[in-house]
Amino acid sequence: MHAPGPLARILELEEQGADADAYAVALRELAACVREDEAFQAALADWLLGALGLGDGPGDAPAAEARWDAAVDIVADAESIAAFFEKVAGRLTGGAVPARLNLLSLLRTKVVWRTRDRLRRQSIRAARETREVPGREQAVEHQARIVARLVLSRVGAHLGDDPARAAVFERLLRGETVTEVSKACGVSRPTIYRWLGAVRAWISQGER
Amino acid sequence: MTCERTEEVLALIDEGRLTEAAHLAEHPNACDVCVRAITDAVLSRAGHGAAPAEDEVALLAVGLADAGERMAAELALGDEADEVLAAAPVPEVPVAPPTFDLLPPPPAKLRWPWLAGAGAATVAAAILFLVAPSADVAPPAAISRAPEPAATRSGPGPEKPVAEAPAPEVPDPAPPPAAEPPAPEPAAEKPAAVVASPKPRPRARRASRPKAKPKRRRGGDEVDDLLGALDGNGGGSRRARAAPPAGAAPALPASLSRSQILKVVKRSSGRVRECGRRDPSLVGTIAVKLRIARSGLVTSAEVVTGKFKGTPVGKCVSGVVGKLRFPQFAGRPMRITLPFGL
Repeated sequence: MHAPGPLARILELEEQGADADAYAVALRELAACVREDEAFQAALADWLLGALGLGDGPGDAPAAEARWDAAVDIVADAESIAAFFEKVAGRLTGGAVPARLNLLSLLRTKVVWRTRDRLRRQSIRAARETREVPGREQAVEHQARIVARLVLSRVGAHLGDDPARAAVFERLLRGETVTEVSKACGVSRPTIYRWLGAVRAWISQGER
Repeated sequence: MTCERTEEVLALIDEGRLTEAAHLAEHPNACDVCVRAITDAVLSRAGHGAAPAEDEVALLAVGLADAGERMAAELALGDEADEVLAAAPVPEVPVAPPTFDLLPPPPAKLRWPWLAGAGAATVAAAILFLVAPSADVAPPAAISRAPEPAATRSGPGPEKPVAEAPAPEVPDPAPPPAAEPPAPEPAAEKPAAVVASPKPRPRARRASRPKAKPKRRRGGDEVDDLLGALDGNGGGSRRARAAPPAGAAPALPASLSRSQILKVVKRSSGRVRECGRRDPSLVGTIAVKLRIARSGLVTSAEVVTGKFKGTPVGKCVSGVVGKLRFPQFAGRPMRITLPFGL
């Protein structure tokens, strides 16, 4: 699989066994590209799926699907993956790159761990639904609707005037995953993560 | 900044009554504090985004996690650690086992017998010196040659796992006779280089451990015999008496090591999880700030994760954590923040 720009540079450095400073610079470039360039983000997701043997799509088995979704979501959350690359870059100062470190190792561990977490959450949710108190589901929807309305009224200025947002937030607040919401509302995952990021930024503004 | 409902909204959030809090926050005059708090609570409950300690787990897998991240990752991973960490493809080149930046001091139970051994070595050397006829003064010289085997043993160097060097003889109280020569021994320093090679930071304490080991070979039996005799008469020369007695109180570490903390924390993880069952709607990572006194007792435990503060779950977790008992240590009281996944 062809690796785009800064990613190709990182893979090249890994092959050469480059020093830590050069690797850190390349990681920062990668982070900047993920943040600024959606096309690059998509290319990075393609590369990752290919490298993990998931290039043919999510497959039918729940575990394979969860794995595919986890990989796509990790890259789709541009801000968080970029921050992660920068964190790793910050650890590399002088000397050689640790032998264990390579980009695929980093991302693969995240994918494996997130997949397990998703499967765990799915099973908890399934178990909860079977013993759900009648009416609770409705209550959750009701609450999600109120909060979505509140959020949009307060942070609308940051998010633009897209009517799809209300539906997206309602679903997110109801506990649906970004993947599920993306499929149901026809909004891309990076866009959902961007909206979520804006809301989180607004929340953390208040904490300061 | 706040409105007349803020207190009430925050109290409802703390109790997990989010729908009621949302209703209150919906008031047209509700302040941003209310709306932010309820949004945060509902989003947190929905649990979007990364898995608990995801970045920390990834950093741990490639050996870049710092002490706090390592602890967070290990707590989150629990029994799944091996499987998840094995997911990271390891290059073919011989690689040191996952090492940690901040190596804790060797645990007292390993270090002390060795120190006791060193003390006994002093006793034995003193007795040899005082009791043996002049011709027998040679043995110390022979003992001092011991670094040679040390060089050959640690020589194979980098590809030899570090952990092999100090291994099985450490708990043996038999003393390494030449442990006390103060001059730095180049041969004995080699293990330090071996230890330091995979990591940029030197580990002086660890490096000091293999020093005495190779020297124990010679005269080990004689020293055992001498020690036995010494135990029998309970006496010894003045020099021997000056050496620390083997039965003295063990030297305490300056602070608790990561493994010591994890060992205690892991024992309580079941009780913490039980706390989480009190409110299944509250999920996520709860961070608890602890102050551990030298005695090992927890003198304060405070929940620092906003959404758990003041909740029954938070109170239960801080209660459980507040009752933990860590090993004693000698340094200043420690303040640490422990994350628990609920």
